[in-house]
Parts: sequence; structure tokens; C-alpha cells
Amino acid sequence: MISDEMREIFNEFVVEAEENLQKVEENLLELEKDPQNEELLNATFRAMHTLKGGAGFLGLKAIVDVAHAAEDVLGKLRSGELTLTPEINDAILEAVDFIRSAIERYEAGEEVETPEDLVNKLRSLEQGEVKEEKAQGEESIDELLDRFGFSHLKGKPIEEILEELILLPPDERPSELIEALDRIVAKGEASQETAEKEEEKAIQPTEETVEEKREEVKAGELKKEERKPAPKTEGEKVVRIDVHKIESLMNLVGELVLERNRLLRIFQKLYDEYQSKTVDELETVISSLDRIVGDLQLAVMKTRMQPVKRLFQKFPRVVRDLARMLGKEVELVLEGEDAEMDKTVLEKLEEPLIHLIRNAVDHGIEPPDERERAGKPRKGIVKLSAYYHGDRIFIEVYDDGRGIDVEKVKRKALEKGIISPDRAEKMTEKDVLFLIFHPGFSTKEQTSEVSGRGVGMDVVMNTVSAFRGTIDIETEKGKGTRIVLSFPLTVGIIRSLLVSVDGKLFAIPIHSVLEIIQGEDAEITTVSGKEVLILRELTIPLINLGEALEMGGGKVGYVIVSQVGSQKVAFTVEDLFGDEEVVVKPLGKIIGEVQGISGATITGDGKVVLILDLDGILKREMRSITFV
Amino acid sequence: MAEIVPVGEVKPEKVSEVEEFLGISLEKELIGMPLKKILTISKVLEIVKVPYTSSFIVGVMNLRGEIIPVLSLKQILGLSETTEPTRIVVLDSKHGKAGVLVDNIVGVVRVPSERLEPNPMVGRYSAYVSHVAQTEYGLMEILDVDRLVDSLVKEE
Repeated sequence: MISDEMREIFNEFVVEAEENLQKVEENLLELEKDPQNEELLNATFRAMHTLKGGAGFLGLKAIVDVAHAAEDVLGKLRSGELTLTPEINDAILEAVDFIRSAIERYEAGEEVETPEDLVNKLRSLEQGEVKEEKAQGEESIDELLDRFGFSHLKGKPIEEILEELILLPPDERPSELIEALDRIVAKGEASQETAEKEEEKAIQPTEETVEEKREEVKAGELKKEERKPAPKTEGEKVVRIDVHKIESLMNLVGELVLERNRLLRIFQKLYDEYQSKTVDELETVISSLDRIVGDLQLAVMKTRMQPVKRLFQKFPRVVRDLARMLGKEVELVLEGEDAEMDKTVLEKLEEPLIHLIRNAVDHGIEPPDERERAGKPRKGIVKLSAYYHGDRIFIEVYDDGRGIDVEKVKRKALEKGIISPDRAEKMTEKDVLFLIFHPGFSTKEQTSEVSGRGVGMDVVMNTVSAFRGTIDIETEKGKGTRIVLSFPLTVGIIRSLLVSVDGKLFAIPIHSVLEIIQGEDAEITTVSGKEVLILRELTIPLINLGEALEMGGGKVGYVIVSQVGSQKVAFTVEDLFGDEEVVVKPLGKIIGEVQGISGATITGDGKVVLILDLDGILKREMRSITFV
Repeated sequence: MAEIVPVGEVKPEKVSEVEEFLGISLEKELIGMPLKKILTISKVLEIVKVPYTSSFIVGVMNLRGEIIPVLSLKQILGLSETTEPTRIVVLDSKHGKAGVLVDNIVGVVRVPSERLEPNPMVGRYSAYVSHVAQTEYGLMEILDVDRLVDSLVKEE
């Protein structure tokens, strides 16, 4: 248990430990490519060592034991007594995973036992024994599945089981089980090799082990010298701040922005009514105030921004594990890791990106032999990059694999009844590609009942629309696929179009508005009793916003054509009142999440205006159609 | 902010055995809300209806730059709606601030704790009334604010 007075220290330890674990993980993956890199070995050793020290101070015995064993292995790697093998790498990664889960459990106030198996494994690796794991009483796949409550996956090929597991949301993913399965797969590949090694070992005289023991003592002495505190390379340039403090700062700045808008409006009136020197003076003051408020808003926004590196660094592991179990050769290239984006969006992006990357490795990248036949290098490339453009940040997942077969997607959509044959003919290639984001769509022949395949891509779409993002997809057969997500840099403030419906004001986020047509110029007709807008030979479903909002229909003053998720939808509104930057405020817990309304804002003159979520309104409309 | 009447000023010194309530009238009922749950009382400001929400939620209003949900106690308790509400009582619940439309403010009512009787009635209405008490203004029903708000949150 963590006592209250230790809480603060513990919390600090948690943050620091996570940084160190990330470092170990990252370095190990890097070391797999470059096992002799001393600098990396040193850094990895130090990270594990620091972690052990922190855990020791707090008396977290299970972590100390594991970290200690791992540190000893790393120590030998560093001194060159051991060379890094995939087995050692796996074992240390396993230790990393254990420490992570142990921290969580300590955090929750649970007791954690030292995992003797793991410690023994690390110890024996440290002794240079490459032992088959059978000795520890290996469980069969079925037993493993039972133990972790995935009995329904029994009897499936192991690759498929792993795929299902990797598709689970990150917090439900049983990393221990994945590790175990991964080992079974890896062992299948390596069993021949190890058998040979084992034979070799048998011939070696036993004296060597004695020698090794002696070496170990020496290594221990050396380590003591190392324990002097490492000189701090950077001064205290970083301060950790409670998120709530930043949130309240954000709220205050939001209100300040609203008041500024109000002031500007009043000043405009004043300026129109009176002309005097004092009014001119006031103008200078107000315009500099305007600028300062703008800068302040930006500065506060920036405190919420975090480099995408935090997110990206999780993926080398995902790609490595996935590629290994699928028998593919994949290199993950990361670009623009220093680009920053809002913390809340960043946190929610992990799951969708895992889906996209998994898809790229699984469906995109071909097996090495196939790639060779197609004249491509055996090793496929998956590139994850981030960059800014205008006031948006773009996240791109690219693979140089086989591309998406547009015809196959179309066929599948027809089979599933997602589109009608007539519509299929008229669809552009891009329209077809967007079908993969349709809920329940999958090009794989069989879909499983468990959450997983086929459900994945609409998770991506939902996250993207939840944060007012956009999505674009490009593919070329045999060349590769590129999926680009974009998000607004500023989350709390959005530029919106103010419209009225039945005399009431509403705000529509401007990023979803494609074009606006005058009511009398719009060509509106009906298809099977439903109104549609004909726009340059495109037929777009038309929704009367007043009726959709359960208010009066009202007259059609304007038609707003918008991009909602993967499709175009038109909405009728009564009148337009220009665009304005608005601060999104939640409706509060009592009202809760309302599909179709993403929040409210207070305009310059103090009016409450609801911000519409067109995606949600469309979903409501579609539901009411299917149920009628 | 002239329309806001701070309640704190009316609050007399606390006596240990006496509990304080804000008495409000709602149709023919006298309802008491625990004084410590009340943030402010405001005039009925412009309320913006939120589509797709239950009839218990009248809408949202702007209270000093904050968006506050406004609840219809009459709808929740199933009362008739013949009198026009004149005030909004802003409560502090465990799910955040909430405005409640009331017909009139009666005033601060002090009730010795031994005079609080458990509510003898059962039913939907009574689920939100924890106690009743005889007061100088007649029988007052004590509203269980957290329970009221809780039931709304759970319905979502």
C-alpha cells in the first residue's frame, strides 16, 4: 500500500517510471537493429537502474526484483559478456510490461507479488543459458485463452487470435497473453536454431560457468562506481502542472475571448455613433487589447499541446510484434514526431492509429516473397508522419504495400447491401474508398462476432468526427495506401457559421461546411418521398434542419452543403448570420452527451447558442428512417 | 447583475439543532430546499431549449458566462402547470450546477431537526421528498436535491 504522505512521491515516480520504461522499450527496439550500440546500451541500463532506485525508495518490492534482474542482464550486455538475442529482448520487454502493470496495481492500492518465473528467466539469461521455456511448465494456447477469459477464440489459428487481441482497446488488451502467444509463434520459428545451439552447449565444458560467476562479481564492482548520480544535462526547464489547473485557465481565457468579442462589438457601435479624439484613443487601446488576448489565448492553448512523439513511440512495438507474428518484414518510419497537438485529441488517437497501422501491416504490406516477386524490396515500409498545414495538424499513415482493391470494395459493399447497384455505378473511386469506413464493412472474407475486424475502421471515423477532424484516403494498386487525418490545432475554440432555424440561433462548425446555396437557387426534388438536392449532377440527401431538431420546419432561406464523415449532406436553414469564433462549452453532466449537439457557446451579446454536430444529427435521421 | 439576490446575506447565525431551507412555492405546494445547496437565485433569464432532451430539462441559460441547465421541477414531480415561474433557483449538486424553475420564493424557513418527519408518502413524486415538516407557512416538503439530479443523470 502507498501511504498518503508517500502519494506525491509515488505519483512523481509513476511519471518518471513511464518515461524510463518508454526509453527502455524504444532503445531495445533500436538495439535489435544495432546490437553493439554502446551508447544505447548504456542509456537503457541507466533507465532501468533509475527505475529500480525509485521503486526501491518506495519499497515496491516486485518492481525492484524484476528491474534488478533486468538491470543485471543489461549490465552484462553493456560489458559485452552477453550479446543481445531476440530471447533476451523479449524477456526484457516482458519485464517492462510487468513493471507497467505492477505500477498500475500499486497505484490501485493492490499488493503485487514478485513474478518468480520472469525473474528466473532473466537470471538464467544473465547466466548465458538459452533455455527452452518448457521448463517453467508451459501452458497450451487453449489454457492461456481460458486463463485470460478469451475461451471463445479457442481453435482458431494463432495468428487470428493475436489479431483479435491486438484489435481490443489498449486498456483491455491483455499484453501478457499477447506476449505468451507471441513467444509460441516465435519459438516455432526459432526452435531449429535453438536445438542446434543446445547441442553445441552440451559439448562445452562446465568450467565456463565458474568463469562467468567470477566475471559477474567484477561486473558488480564496476556497477558500484556507476551509481554516482548522473550529472543533470538539463536544468529545471520543465514544470509538471495538474491538468485541472490548465483547464480552468483555458476556461478563463475562453471567457476573456468572449468578453473581448463583446467589447469589440460595442466599440464598433460607439465608433459609428461618435467621432472624437477620445474614441480614437480608445480604438488604439482596444486593438492592442485584442491582440494581447489573442496571444494569451494561443499561449494557453500551447500549454495543452504535447508532441505527437508521446503517441508515436508506442507504435514501433506494435509493428514489431505484428510483423513478427504475421511473418512479414516491416520497417516503421516515424516522421515529424516533434509536431504538437492538443493533449485530449492526442490521447484519443491511439486506438484509431493502431487500427490504421494494423491494417497497413496486415492488409497492406505483402509477405516478403510476394514483394520480391513484385520487384519490391522484401522489407515493407509503414510510415507514420505528422505535419502542420494552416491551422490544422495532419497525421498520415502510409504503407508501400499492395494498395486497396477498389473493385473488391465495391463488390463487397454491394453484397452487404451498403450501396445499391445504381449508386455503385455513379460512385467515384474516392466515394468507394470511403466505404471502408462504413460501420460493419470489411473486405476480409469472414468477419468475427467478437469486436474486431470490420468494426475497426468506423472507430477511426468516429474519433475523427468527434474532434472535428477530416479524413482522406489515397491508394494505388500495387504501390501502396496513404490515409491522412487532419485535426484543428485549437480544440476549445472553433470557427462556426451562425444560422437560424425557426427563429433560433445555432452554430455549425465551419470545417464541415462545403458550400452555401441560396434557397431559391437550390434544385430540390424528392426521391422515394425524401427530399434531395441536385448539385452539379450529384444527388445529395437534404435534411430540413428545423424538423431534424424537432422544431418548426420554417422557410428555406439557404441550403448548406456539408461533408459529414464520408458523405455529403445538405441542410436547409432559415437565415445566415456570418461566422464567428466560438468557445465550446459542455452542456454539463446533468444534460450529458446529446447526439447531434456538441456543446454550447455564449455569443458577444450574451446569448446562449447551441453548437450542432451534423454527424450526430445525420445519425439520428438515419436511425429514424430505418425504424419507420 | 442586479437580478441576482445573494442568499448568504439573509442567512442568520447557525444554531446546531435548527436546519435551514429555502421555501419556494410550486403550484399549490410548499417545497423546501436545503440552504447549503443553493448558490444563487436569479430572475428567469432567456432559456435556450436543447433538442433531443427530456421534458424535464427546460434548456440551458447563461449565468454570468456559465452554461447552466434549467430543470422543470413541475415536470419531474408531475405537477400541473398553471402558474408562470418567476425565479430560477441555482442549486449545487454533485453533478454540477443546475437551475430549477420556481413560481415564487417564500423565504428562508428554519426548522428544528426534531420537527423533520420522514416522508410518509410513496410514489414517483415522493421519491424526491425526503422529509416533511410543519412550518409557519404550512406543510413543507423537503426536496432531496442530489437524488433528483441523480435520477436525471441516470436516465441518460
